[in-house]
Amino acid sequence: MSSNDTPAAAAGYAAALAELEQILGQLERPDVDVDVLAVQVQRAAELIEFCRERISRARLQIEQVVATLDDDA
Amino acid sequence: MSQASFDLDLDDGSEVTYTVAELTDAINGVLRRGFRDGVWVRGEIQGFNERGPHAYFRLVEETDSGKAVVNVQFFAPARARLRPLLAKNRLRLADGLKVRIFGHLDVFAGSGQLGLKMSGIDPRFTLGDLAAQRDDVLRRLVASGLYDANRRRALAPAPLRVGVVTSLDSAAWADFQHEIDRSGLGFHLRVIDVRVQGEWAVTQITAALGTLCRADDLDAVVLIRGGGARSELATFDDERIATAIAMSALPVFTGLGHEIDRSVADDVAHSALKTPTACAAALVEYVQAFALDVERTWGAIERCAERSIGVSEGRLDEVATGIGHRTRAAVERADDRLRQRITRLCGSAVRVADRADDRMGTAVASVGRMPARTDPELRHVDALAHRLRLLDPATTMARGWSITRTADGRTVRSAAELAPGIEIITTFAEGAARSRVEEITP
Repeated sequence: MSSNDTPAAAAGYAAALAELEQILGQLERPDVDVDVLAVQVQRAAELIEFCRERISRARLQIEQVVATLDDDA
Repeated sequence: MSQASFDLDLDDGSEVTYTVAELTDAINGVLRRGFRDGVWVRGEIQGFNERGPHAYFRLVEETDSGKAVVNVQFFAPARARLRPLLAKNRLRLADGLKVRIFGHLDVFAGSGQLGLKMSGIDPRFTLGDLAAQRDDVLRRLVASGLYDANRRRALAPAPLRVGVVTSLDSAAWADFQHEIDRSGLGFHLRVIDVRVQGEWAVTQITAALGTLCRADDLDAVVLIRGGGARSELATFDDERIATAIAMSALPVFTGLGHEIDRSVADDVAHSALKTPTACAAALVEYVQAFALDVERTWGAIERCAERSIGVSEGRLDEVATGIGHRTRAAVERADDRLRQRITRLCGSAVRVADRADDRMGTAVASVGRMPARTDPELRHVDALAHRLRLLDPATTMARGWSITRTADGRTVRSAAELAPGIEIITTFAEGAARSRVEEITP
């Protein structure tokens, strides 16, 4: 993965989560290369941050919508 | 040579010798003495002609040994004197008429011809002869079965198409036409102009009857002429005309002469009327009777139709009333059903709306719970972050673990990769140390 690749460039939350699972799978293998370890961990950390940001945004939007419904009621 | 002698014994010239004029006078004298009171003679008139106020004709008798002829002079004074008698008996002297006349014999010096100066006539002779001829013709017609043949012809119900045989110059035609026009009915007349007296009359009338009586687009044929001398009307006693009428395929109407006259043509015709006007009136009457009959029939039809219509209208009213009642009932039933449906519909709508409202509430509640749906996701991501932290070399090395690499940077995973004297670099959580291998322990 190039340095230009960002989690935002991923297809979305599901794709980011899938990539994260894949990286974790690789890191948990016994023959993981120590030299790529740091890079993979860095990528995984970014993906985690991306997913958390998406979850937070979704939650906020949902709460706003529910508040609107409550007002209409 | 001797002189020829006369065979005739000649008188000595002393006998009375007449001049022509004297002889004529002498003959006339003898005639007057021999027929002192005049003479009656009978025969048929031929070559009748009038010159000025006088008339001349030949009195002829056909005999076995030939024709006997006497010239007759009918001078103006005698004509004037006999005119009332002839008129009274409705006789007019003309060719073909058989007469018994009175007169005095006379030789006309100017022509040397013997003539009879007519001064009287016996009408009964002529009339009797006409009647006798007429009777002969009638007898022959009866014998041949033609006498009532035309009367058996059926007349059309409305004889409007009429063939007319007449003289167009005559008052008879004018009267007939006037009567027809006066009726205002739609008659269609086809006229053939003929002579109704004289020598060509019989031929022309017979031919005209023959033509019209064969027409298939006529209803009847009319033969008319005005009044005239009985001797002239004798034309219509002619057997040829009577036969033409009798054999006609169409009914023949006659209107001939005066009311007192009746000819053979009248006897054999389908309908014999006294005058042309009466003839027209008879046709008009037939058509009017037909029209009246049609009117009556139509009136009866109308009344029947009105009765039928009345009955039908009554039934129709009943049906209409029934339909009205039933329609109202049907409309009321339909109205009830509609109300029931409206009630059901309202109930259903309310129920549907309620259900929809419920579902909406449920949906809103579901949506309201949506924020909580992010919690598992967050927990999942947190777990992944935890796993990542465990795998982070920095974390491991912080607990005292280090990484050993060769001088060329290869990670040393086994002692077997080393040999005594090889330089190695050890990386710690914080900082690194370079050292040299002294001994290998398997």
